[in-house]
Amino acid sequence: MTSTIQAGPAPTAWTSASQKYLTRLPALLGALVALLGLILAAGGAYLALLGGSLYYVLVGAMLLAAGYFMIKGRIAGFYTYVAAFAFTCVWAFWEVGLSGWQLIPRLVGPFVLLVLATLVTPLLDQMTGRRTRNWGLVGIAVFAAALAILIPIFSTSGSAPTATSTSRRFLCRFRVCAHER
Amino acid sequence: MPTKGDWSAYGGGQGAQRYSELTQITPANVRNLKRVWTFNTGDIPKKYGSELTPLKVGNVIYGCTPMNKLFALNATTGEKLWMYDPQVPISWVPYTAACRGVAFYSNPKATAGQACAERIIEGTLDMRLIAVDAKSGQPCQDFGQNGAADLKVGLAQKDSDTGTVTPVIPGTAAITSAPVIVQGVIVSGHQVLDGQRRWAASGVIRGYDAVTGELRFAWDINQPEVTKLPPEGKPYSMGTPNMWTTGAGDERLGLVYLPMGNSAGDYYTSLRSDEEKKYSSALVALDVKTGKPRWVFQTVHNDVWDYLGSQPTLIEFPTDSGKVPAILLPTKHGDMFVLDRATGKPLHQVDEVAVPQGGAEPGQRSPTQPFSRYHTLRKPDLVERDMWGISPIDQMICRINFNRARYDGPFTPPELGRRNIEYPGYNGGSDWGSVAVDPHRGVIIANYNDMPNYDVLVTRKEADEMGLFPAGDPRAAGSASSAEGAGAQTGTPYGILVNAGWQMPTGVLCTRPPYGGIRAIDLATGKTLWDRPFGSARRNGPFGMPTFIPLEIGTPNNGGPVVTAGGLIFIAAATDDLIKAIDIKTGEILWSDVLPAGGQATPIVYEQDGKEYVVIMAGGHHFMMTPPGDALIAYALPDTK
Repeated sequence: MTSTIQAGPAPTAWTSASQKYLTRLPALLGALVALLGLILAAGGAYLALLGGSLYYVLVGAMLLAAGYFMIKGRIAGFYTYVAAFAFTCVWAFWEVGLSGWQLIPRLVGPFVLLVLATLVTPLLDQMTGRRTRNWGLVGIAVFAAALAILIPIFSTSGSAPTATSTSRRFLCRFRVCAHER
Repeated sequence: MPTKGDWSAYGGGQGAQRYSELTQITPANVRNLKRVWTFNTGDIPKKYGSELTPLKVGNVIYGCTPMNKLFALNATTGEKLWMYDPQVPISWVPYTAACRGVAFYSNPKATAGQACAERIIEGTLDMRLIAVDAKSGQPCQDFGQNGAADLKVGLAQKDSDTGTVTPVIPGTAAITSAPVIVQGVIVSGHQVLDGQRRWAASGVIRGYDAVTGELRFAWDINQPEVTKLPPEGKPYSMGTPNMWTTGAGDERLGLVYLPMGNSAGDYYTSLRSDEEKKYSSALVALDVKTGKPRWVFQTVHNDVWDYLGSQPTLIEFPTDSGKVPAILLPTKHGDMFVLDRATGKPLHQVDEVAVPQGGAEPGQRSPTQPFSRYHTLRKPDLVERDMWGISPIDQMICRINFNRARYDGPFTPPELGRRNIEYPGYNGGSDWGSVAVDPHRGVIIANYNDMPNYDVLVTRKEADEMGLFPAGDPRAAGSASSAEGAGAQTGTPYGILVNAGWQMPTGVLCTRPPYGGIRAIDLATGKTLWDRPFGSARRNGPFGMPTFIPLEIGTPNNGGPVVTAGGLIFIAAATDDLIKAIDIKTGEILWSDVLPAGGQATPIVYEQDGKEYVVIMAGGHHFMMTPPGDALIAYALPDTK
C-alpha cells in the first residue's frame, strides 16, 4: 500500500525531493493507521456481533479518527492515537495482566506505531511539535523501561521457577516479588 | 543378562519407569557434562523422525535407524560393532520413518556360546519382526523365516467404492514402536495410517515366540474365535483399534498392558462395533498365554478425538492398606489413571461427568466421560482472551474464529460444516514419550503439550473436491490426505480437516503460549509439586524464523523424560533442539547442550566401567519442523585425576 502512496513525479533535486517526502510522512502514517483502523473496526464489529470482545471495534474507530487527522496534517491525530494506545494498555493489562508473552500481540504493534506517531509530531505542529516529540519520547522510554522491569517480575505465564529472571531474584530478596503459585 | 546400570528395555526396564539408579551425575556437577562420543547412523529418510531410545545391555548399545537398520555400539566409545540392514523398501514408510526402539531377549534354554542365545528383536516399517544375534548382528536362523516373522499375513483393507479386499497397502500399516516381551512371548501391535479409510488394515495384536518366531496368539477384537491366523482367504477384522505405541509387561502376572488407540476413521464412530467401542481408547491387560483380555479400563468412551497413546508404567502405589502393584496410565487428553495391575480397578476416584452432546453423530456421543480425580495435565478450558498472534489483527481473526467454532470444553464433538476446537489436541497431554517415575522419591515427571486442534468434518463430495483420497487410491497421487492433517476417511460419510496446533498462515499459533510444559507430581497424592513451561523460543518464531530468544516460552514437545537417583531429569523433546538436565526437586534447568538436530526422542542413562552416561538420539522430526539428523550422542563427566 505504501508504494502507491509514494508513487509521484520524479524529483529533480535531492533536497527538494527529501523535503517533499518528509512532509508526506504524516499522511503516509495516517493512511496506514486508518487502514489498520478500518480492518479492526470491520473485524471488531463482526467479533462484537458474535458476542466477543468490544475492544477491537472501539480501537478501530479511534484509529480511523487518528488516521484521518494525521492525513489532514493535524496534531489531533497524534493525541487521538495516544488516547487509543492508552485505551489499549488499560484493556491489555485488564485482560492478561503483566504476562509478557500475552502482551506481545496486544502491545508490540501499537507501540511501534506510537513511536512513529511521536516522531512525526514536528511535522504536524510546527509551533510545539518538537517539544511534544521530545516529551513523548521520554514517556515512551519510561513506559518501555517500566515494562522491561515489571514483566519479568510479575509475569504470570506458568508457576515456574523463572531461572532467567535475575531482576526477579533481586527483588525477591527484598520481598517485593509476586508470590509464586 | 541385564544388570543394574543397564537400560534393558525401551522404558528402562520392563516396568517402563524411565528411571536409573545411577548417582554419579548430580545437580552439583551436571554443569561439567561433556560429549564423549557421537555415532552417526547415516540414515536420514525424507519423512525423518528417528525417535529412537536405544538399549544398553552388558557392554553394548543396541539401536535401530529410521529405516530399521539394527546396530550395536561399544558403550564406552560409541564405535560400531555391527550393523544389519533388513532392507525395508521406501514405499513402506508411513507417516514418519520412526524406529522408537528394539527389544533384548535372552533365551533361557540356550547353551553357552550358542548363536542367538541373546538376541535383538525389532518390528519394521514393512511389518516384520526381525531377530538378530546380539553378538554378531546376524539373523537368527531359528527365528521365523531366516530370522524374520511376517506380520503382513492376514492384513488387508477394503475399498469402499468397489468392495474389493486387497493385501495391506505399503505405508498404511507399520511397526514404529518397540515390541514388549513377556514370558518369552513378543507382543506387537502396529500403527495403521490415520485418516485413510474406515476399512483399513486390522489393529490385531499378535504374540510370537521369542525363540522360534512362531505365532502364539492373535487378539482380533471383532473375531474373538480367531486365535491365530484368520481362516484361509479371510483377513483379520478390518479397521479395528490398533496399538501404535508401546505396551508394558508384567512378567509375574503374565500380562501385557496395551494402550489401545481408535478404530480406523478416527473422527466417525457410527460404523464401530460394540466390541470396538469397548476397547478403543482403553488400557487392555492381555494374558500372554491365551491372548485374551483379562481386564479393560476405558479412558474415553466412544472416542472421536484420536486420543490415548502413552506407554503405561508399572508402579507400587501407596494406599491405606499398603503398597499395591499398580499401573500408571497417562493419556493424550491429560488425565492420569492409576489402576490395580491385577484387576484394572482404579485406585482413586474416577467420576463420570456429563459432557457436550450433539455434533455430526448426535446419537453416538456418550452422555458422560471418565474424569480422573488423581491428576490431569489438562489446563483450564480456553477462553477468548487466550487467543494470540503477532499483532492485534491476527489476534482479532483468531478471536472471531474462536467464537465461530464450537467449543464446550474437553470432549466437544466434531461438527459438519463448522469448526470444533479439540483441546488438548491429539498431540497431548501426554503422547508416546510418556512419563518417568522416581520410585524412591515418589515423584512422577511428565512433559506435556498444551495446544488445541482446530477440526471440521467435510462431506464426501467436498472431500473429493479437495482431492482427499486414501493411500492406494489412484487419485491419491499428490493427494492432500495425510495422517496429521486432512483425511479422506473413505467408507464413512465424512472427511476430516485437522489444523494441528491451530496454526495461522504465519506459522504462529492462535492460542497463547506456553505450548508445552513439564511438571513434577507427587506419586502418592497426585498433587503437582512444580510445573513450568518447557522449551525455549530460540528456534521458534513467525514464518519459521528463529528468534534466538533464550526464554522458556514452552514449545510443543515429543519424547519422554528420564529421571535418575542422582536427582536429575534428562530430557530433550522440545522444538528448541536442546537436551537439558533439570533439578527434580525444583524444576530448575541446570544444564543444556545444543543438539545438531531435533531431539524428539527419549534419552537413556547407563553405567559402563564405573562411569555414568546419558545418550540422546538427535534425529529431528519432519512434522515438528526440527532439523533432520542422524546423531546418537553420549555425555559423561570428565575423568577426575
